[in-house]
Amino acid sequence: MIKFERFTLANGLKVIYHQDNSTPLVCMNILYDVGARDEHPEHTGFAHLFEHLMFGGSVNIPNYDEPLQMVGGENNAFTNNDITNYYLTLPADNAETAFWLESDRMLSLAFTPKSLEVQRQVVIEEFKQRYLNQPYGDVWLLLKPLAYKVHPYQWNTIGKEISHIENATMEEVKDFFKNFYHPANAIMVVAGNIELEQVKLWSEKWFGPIPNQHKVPRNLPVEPPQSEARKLVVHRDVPANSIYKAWHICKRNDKSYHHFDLISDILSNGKSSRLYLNLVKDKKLFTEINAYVSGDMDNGLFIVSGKLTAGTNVDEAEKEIDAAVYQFVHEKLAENELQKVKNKVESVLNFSNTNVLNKAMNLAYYELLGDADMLNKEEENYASITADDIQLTAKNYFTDSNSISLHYLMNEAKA
Amino acid sequence: MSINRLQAPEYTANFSFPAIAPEQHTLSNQVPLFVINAGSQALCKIEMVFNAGNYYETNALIANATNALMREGTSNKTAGEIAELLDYYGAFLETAVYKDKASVILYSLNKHLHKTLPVMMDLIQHAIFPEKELTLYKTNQKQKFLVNQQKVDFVARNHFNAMLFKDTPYDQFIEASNYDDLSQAQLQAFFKDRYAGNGMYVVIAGNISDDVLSQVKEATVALNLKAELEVKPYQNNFSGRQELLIEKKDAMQSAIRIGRRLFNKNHPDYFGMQILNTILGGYFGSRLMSNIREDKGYTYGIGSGVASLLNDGFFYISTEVGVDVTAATLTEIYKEIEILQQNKVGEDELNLVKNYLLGTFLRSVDGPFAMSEKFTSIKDYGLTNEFYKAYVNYIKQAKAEDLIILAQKYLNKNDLSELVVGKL
Repeated sequence: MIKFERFTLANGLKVIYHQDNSTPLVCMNILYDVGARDEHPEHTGFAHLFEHLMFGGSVNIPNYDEPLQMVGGENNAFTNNDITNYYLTLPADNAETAFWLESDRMLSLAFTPKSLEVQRQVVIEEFKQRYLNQPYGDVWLLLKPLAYKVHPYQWNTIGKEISHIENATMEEVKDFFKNFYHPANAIMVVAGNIELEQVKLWSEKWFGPIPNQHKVPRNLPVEPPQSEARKLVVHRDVPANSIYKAWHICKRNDKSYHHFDLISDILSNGKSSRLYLNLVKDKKLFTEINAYVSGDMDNGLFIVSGKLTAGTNVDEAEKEIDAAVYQFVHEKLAENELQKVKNKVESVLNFSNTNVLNKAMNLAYYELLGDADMLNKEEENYASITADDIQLTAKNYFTDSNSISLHYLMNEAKA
Repeated sequence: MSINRLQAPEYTANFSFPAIAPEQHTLSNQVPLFVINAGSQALCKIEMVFNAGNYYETNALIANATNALMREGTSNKTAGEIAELLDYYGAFLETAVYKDKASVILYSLNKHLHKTLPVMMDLIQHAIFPEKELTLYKTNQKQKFLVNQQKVDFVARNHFNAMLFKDTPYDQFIEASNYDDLSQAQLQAFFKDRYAGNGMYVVIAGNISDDVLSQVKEATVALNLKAELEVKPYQNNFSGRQELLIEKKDAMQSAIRIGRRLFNKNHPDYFGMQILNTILGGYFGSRLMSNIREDKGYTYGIGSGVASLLNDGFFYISTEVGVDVTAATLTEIYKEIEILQQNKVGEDELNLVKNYLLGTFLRSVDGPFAMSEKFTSIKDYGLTNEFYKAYVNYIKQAKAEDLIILAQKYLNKNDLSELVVGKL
């Protein structure tokens, strides 16, 4: 049970407080409700580029990192389809520095041309390092546009192509800040060895004076239901063939999300999971195979991906994946197997609550989903799932016409 | 309320650090058992540490394969039964191999420990390394290796280690054929020699109730350990600079490694090199990051580190940069090193790095699992919490004059080896 308090400043900033006196640290996590899905289709990669620019100095503080390091703190951030999340930890005695630093960059950035020029280059190198100069690195650049024809999930957080990053202008940077970086679009969590009264005082002192702004309404195009199976085959210079098979699923907030999460655990979490036992150990068709859910706020994907053993026929291997997934449609899950994955979820939740930064991040994310207290209800949510629930969800989503398949093959296989 | 946003809030660098001093129990079979009892969640981490790192292997990968395959079958249980039991009770069993040591780690909810601990104890005593599990391991790991061979960073790591440690037990250059060469007999022999020796110890951390402690004691006291084999003494034959270019014609980025053999935690200059390394490349605000990423945008990241080994140690710089700026990056790296050798670090920068390191140390001892890592990383060197006290004191009083001497002593270009994988 993660106890917390919640209050909202007059300018709309939501603050969540969680006390943990077992740590000598304080964490601050600020989640901005903006991600790659909020980008213009011709200017993708912007939310992530912007995350880099948030470290390029703010209106009153020329360098973000130095003062934080000076008080013994450390920070990082990430951007995904839905959110941009900034977090820092520092010794509890120096917690006010976090309020000072984060409030100044919420107030306004320095917007120096040098910062834009350099971070543009850094992000281009990141693009190369993670997506282009890696075997299988471009898988998601191929798979997402195959799965999404209308919805902005069709591009990756890094962007559709390098040119979008190259062409970003300072005007766009400023607009993006104005639209998305303001108190009403943020959720702040302060967790650790600190008192509530102190958090209230410093929140009011540092964040209170930031002018309020209205949230920009989000009107994203809805991805229409897919009516027939999609398939793409590509050849690359890689040492093994691989398959990525996906099905469109629900939103993160939908009840069925938990069902898919358990299905993915049954399929591939741990060495006793079905896909590992059947396709890796027994039939030896794959050298590795995984099932996972994308967990997006809008309708996401359920994905099975694996690398094939040498000599395995790709179509045969895909049939085996299909059979394993469609088994959830045709057969009700045995109680024992369901209990196993529930136990695993219970364990994962407990272990993740041992770390104060994890708790802070989770509280912010669940608050965005609707209520931070949902974090405390997760164990119960999973525990109450029945085999019938899972079968019904599987029936609704696991069909051929709702599937996407990517065969990522080695060049030699070209025949 | 009017506030001055130009003025940073007050701060202190006087942190109080918890002692890394686990409670020690010595059992009747002489196995040392260390207990770190902290944390509110009813769960625990049980780590068993063995003298079974790569240092002891006769052929590459034997230590890794032995460690990984211990969970794949014992004289009592099949691989499937082991996996099913651990998964059913939501436990995580991690196996890890380092240069010197190897570990088996169990993460379990306390309430399931009576089911999960016996599984761990079974495999550290009775692993049999079935032929079919080994065959599967060889096939799958070899494919992973071939995928990794396409990553410049992986290739660089593999070659750089061999460059620095050629002809020593720390040289573990891996080739695809090493996977084919693994045999069941080798693994069984390595297991017998290295996992049943009296050099092992146990660390438990988490919410350690009396019940948890007595379960672990009871299980551990049943271990029947024998005297460990003598290992031939290490020859520290440091040689000077080497250069190597491994060309990858289609590379978009080059991986760069620059470094040298150095020393370990027991050396008097170890603390000083920690500070010097941090200034050069050990944190986000480092000289290398500021110059090569934040000023020139050549890379997504560049860093340096000082690593400790039981009989040696090394210093390294590592990055991946665009192929067109590879040469320019090398120039800048050496330039930054020369600056450290010629000019004293300014007071502001030194203070910042000191505070940053103290804060980092505070983060690294936060919580029982972090403390257990801090403990194993000194225990193996025969060190105690006095080492960490000395570290904190050293940081607080370190002077720029000391650092310039260290830079001149240890970072000469003639002593630094250089590897580029990609294009130059």
